[in-house]
Amino acid sequence: MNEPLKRILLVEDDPDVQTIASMALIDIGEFDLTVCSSGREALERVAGIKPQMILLDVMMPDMDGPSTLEEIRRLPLSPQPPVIFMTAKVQPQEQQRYLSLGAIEVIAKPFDPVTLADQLHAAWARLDDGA
Amino acid sequence: MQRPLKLRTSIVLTFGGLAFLTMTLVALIVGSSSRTLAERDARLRLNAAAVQVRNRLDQDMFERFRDIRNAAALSPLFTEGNAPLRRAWFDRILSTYPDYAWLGFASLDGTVVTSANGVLEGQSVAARPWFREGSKAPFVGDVHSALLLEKVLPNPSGEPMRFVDVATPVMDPEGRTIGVLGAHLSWQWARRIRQTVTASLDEGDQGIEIFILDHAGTVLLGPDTFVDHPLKLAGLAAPTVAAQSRLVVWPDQQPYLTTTVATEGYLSFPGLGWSVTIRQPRAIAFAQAQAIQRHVLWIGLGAALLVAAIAWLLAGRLTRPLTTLSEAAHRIRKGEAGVTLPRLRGFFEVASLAHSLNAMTTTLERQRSDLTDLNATLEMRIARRTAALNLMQEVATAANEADDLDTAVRFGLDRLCAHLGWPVGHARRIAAGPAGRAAPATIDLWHLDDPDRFAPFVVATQGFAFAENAGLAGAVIAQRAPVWQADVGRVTGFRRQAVAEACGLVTALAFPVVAGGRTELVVQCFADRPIAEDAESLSIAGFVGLQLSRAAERLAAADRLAEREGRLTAIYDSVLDGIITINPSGSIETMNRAAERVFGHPPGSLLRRNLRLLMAEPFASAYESELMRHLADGGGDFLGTVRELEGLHADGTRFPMEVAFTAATIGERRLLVAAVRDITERRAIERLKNEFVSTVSHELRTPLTSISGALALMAKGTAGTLPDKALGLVAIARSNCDRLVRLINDILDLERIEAGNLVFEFEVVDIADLLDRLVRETAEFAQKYNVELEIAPAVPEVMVWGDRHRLMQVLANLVSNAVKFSPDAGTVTVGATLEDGKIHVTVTDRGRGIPDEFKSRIFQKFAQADASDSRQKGGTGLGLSIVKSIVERHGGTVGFSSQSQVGSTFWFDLPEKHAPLTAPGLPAEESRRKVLICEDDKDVGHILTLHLEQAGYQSLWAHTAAEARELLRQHDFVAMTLDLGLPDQDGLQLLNMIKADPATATMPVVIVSGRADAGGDRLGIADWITKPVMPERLIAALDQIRSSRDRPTVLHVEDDPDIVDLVSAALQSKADLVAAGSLAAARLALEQARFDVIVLDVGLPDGSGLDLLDTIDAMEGGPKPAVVLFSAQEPHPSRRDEMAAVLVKSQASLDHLADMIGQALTQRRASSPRQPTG
Repeated sequence: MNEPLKRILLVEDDPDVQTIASMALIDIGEFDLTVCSSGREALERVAGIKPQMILLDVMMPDMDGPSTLEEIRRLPLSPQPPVIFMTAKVQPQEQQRYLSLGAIEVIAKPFDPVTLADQLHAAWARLDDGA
Repeated sequence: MQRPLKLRTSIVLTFGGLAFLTMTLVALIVGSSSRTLAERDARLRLNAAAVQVRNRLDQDMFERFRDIRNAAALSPLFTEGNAPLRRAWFDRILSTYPDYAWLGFASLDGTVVTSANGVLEGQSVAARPWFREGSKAPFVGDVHSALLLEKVLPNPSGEPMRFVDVATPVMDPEGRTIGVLGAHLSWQWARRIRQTVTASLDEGDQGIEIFILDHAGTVLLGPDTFVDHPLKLAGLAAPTVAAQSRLVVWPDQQPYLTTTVATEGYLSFPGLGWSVTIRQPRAIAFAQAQAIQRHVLWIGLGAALLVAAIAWLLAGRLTRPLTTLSEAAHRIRKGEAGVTLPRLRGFFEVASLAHSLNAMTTTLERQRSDLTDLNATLEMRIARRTAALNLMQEVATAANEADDLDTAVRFGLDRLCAHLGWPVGHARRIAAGPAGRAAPATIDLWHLDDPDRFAPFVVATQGFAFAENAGLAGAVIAQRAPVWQADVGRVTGFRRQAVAEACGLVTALAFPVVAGGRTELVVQCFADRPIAEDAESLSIAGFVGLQLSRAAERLAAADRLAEREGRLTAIYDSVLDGIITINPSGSIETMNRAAERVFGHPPGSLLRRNLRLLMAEPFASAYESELMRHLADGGGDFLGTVRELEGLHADGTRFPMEVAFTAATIGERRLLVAAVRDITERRAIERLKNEFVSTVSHELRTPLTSISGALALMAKGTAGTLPDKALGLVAIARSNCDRLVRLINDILDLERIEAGNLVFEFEVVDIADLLDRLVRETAEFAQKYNVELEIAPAVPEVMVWGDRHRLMQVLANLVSNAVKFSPDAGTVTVGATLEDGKIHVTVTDRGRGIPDEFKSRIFQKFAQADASDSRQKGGTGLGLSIVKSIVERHGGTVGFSSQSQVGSTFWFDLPEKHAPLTAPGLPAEESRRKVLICEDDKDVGHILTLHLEQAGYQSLWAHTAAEARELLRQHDFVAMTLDLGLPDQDGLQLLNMIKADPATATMPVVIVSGRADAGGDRLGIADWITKPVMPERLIAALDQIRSSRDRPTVLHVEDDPDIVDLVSAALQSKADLVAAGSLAAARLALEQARFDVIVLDVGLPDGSGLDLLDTIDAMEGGPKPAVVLFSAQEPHPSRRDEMAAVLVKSQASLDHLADMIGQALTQRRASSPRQPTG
């Protein structure tokens, strides 16, 4: 994975947060960002988008973040993109639970849009190191 | 028992017996003497008879012999020619003595010349013995048969004829023998003599018999059966001239008195040698003697009888008075009336006896009558006493058993009246009046023998109230004791006198029934006759009163108890919590309604059942073992602890409940009281609250996310450049937004800490390191406030057991506070000291101090000294509360000291964790590490030894290759130095040998030689040091060898290959790592090799990684590996102790893991010396 991080899929139901995150990732992070408003939408589009990384909100109507992750992991994606959860539930147990589900990182809400891109890069870099 | 003899009989028997004995003795003696005399007489008589017969025989024979000799002497007669004369003479002789059978004269030639009656004349008798003998000398021939004569002589008897011969020679005057004169005496002669004697002896039938025997003992004459037989009698001596008599048993087996005597001849007659024997039957011979004896006996008997008769009469006379006394006594004994003992005269002794007996009888008679009287009295008293006792017992029983006082009183009244035999009894309840004074009663109880007769009395009684101080009741109430009135007519204040008199009631007995110090009842009994005061009746009345009083007390107490119990039961049943009492064996004794409701069991159905039935497993078993432990030692925290567990409802469902046990002692019994509360609802509420908090945090944060993000982007100018004023406003909005986020975070933190839901990751934390990081992380913040942050000097190297991040949170909070309250350009100092095994961490500011009034509230939530502070300083007011909670969860304490305008110091204490020192020095374990020095040069050897010892090695020095080999066999060395130039062997050859030996093949060898390095790698040489030896180089070489050999081996049990790779990469420089993807593989690896550390994942394909802990526990020999749990799950607290560290995946970095492994290794080394691996 020497490829620099570019394509990112954001799954977030709240339009305001979508806007803030989009600005942070597109304007500041200069990523190639696709935003889906629900887990279902993400599942439908993820294969086409082929994101290098997925930013996944936890609390969503219909299908929450963990369920969406589970479904994504069942898709025949190669490679499976790493997932970072974004959540307002930042208690340690909750964080652990999300990590144990296979997320590489948990970003607490409210997040700092100015540094969000940096966080993603750092996570990407760690993945590289780990590999 | 034998009946004693009568005195009279005794006397008669005594005297009669004596007389009989005497007489018998006399009779025997006299009889015996008489018999002896009679027998002697009989013997003499027989002797005399025998002698008489003998003498007659001898005398007759002599006469015949003399006759014949005289005739022969007449010689002329025998001259020739005188024959006629001779014949005539012969005839004459024959006729005068008829016993001559024949008489004749034979001439020398034996021819009979002349004979009487001419018999045998002319016949020859020359052959006859008498002729032959008679021709020589006078001859007497024994008896014989006469052959010649028999034919010529007449034989009237017919018996064989026998004769006795007498013969003598006839001589002529010249003395010449001319012939023989002979005669035959007929046997009738002897027979005649016998008959004559017999006749004279045997007068009457004396049984005397005479036997004549010849010289040979043959019977010549006697009873026919004996004649011609020899008589042989045993015991009879040969006959002598003197007669002798004996008692002899004859052939007919009869005893006879027998006398025998021999003939003796007479004068010139020599005798024929015969003997005479006479016998007489003994019975006849001694008949007289026996008759005498019998006679004497009869006389004796008669005399004895006579004496007995006299004795009888005498005894009768002697015993008569005694008999009279005896009969009288007997009659007295039988109780016949009017019998007295007779006054007896006569014998003195008897009179005296009679007198004494008379006196005694009189006394006894008097005493008997006294006793009878006494007995009758006693029986009467006993009967009365028994009746009284029965009454008392019955009343006591009734009083004890009565369920109400009236029953007891009625019973007592009835029984008492019946006992006394009084017709009227009455009990009245004294109602409690004002101020405890007796007041009129309404309840009456009556005992009336005759209701009609006493009806007026009843009416009168019911018609008035008892006066308190007057009358019978008044006396009783005043005295509180039974009162007796022999005549009620004389009692002052007795208002029923008239009617009592009319009804005939005279005597009264009254007593009180007292309960609780108050007279409850007055009981009165009336008699219709005057009766004197009787102590016993009074005492009985008192007793009845006492018993009724007790019953009254008891019933009153029972009422109070019942009321109290009812109240308690009502409370017990109305409380909301279940209350269950159990006995020490665990079975249920009582359950209140709430408990029954909680568990859904019907009332009473669980009594005596075990409490554990109400608990679900595994709580029931845990409870039981805890109970056992509690009962065994009374300790533990069984009591007083509120525990939450799952209960079991009657319908089988489980529900959460809270149980607390307390102990109670009731009497001697220990009970346990379990308070039970169904916390289903509370749990539900808690869950709701958690959900609420979680939701709220989310719902609050989501808009905050947008706000804060938008503000941040605006501030950064992402949305275009803003004017300065707008930027200022955005900054205000941002900071308040941050504050809101912090506030929410703090609230959630605090809530979780207090609920115990915050998970702490405890580990060894280096305080100095922590402070360093603290200063680094808060420096920026401090800078903002223009506050300098410094660390106090001399922070000790100490460890604590804690959660690094939470401790950092504590310190950050404290520093944040300190900074905020510091003056501009102030200084905040953080420091730590070690005091009594506790680490004392301080954060000191030089601010304005804490107002006194605020000090007590400082750790409370939302506590801020100045309401404006929160806004000014941007604090939430929750920081110190969180600090306090976290420190207390670490087992520490928190506090502060403050001085106004000088500053404040906040501190917390934590217990020190004793971690091994990793400071430089000589670890003890290395002192045992041995290095072999193989060196022939003494100076070099000494230098090597010195340096090695200084470096902490123990060295052994071999001067030759042989010595080196020997030492290698004896010791384990971690390494050796080898000089190549040895005296006995080339060093390289020794090296080859060492490498060839499996025991030493792996031991590193450092060549210390003057030679240059010559291909050490090839020879398996660890290092090659050329002389002169630089000690640092040597030690460095050895240390390096050691450290490379000390590379820990780590077993990584993990099924995710990615994680294995990551960990492996992280640990590469520090440890050798073996991976095992499953429990089975891990166990196999543990069997095959020894590991220093095991990094353990819990979720494995074939089970829980925690199961491996048991395998590790079971390992033997050598130190056990340290376990670092590296897993997505946290282990159960009970297993925490078995692990050196617990790390949660994704939370801990790989560096962290490496640190943990290093620490585990260090700890392990410190706790157990490592085995040499060379």
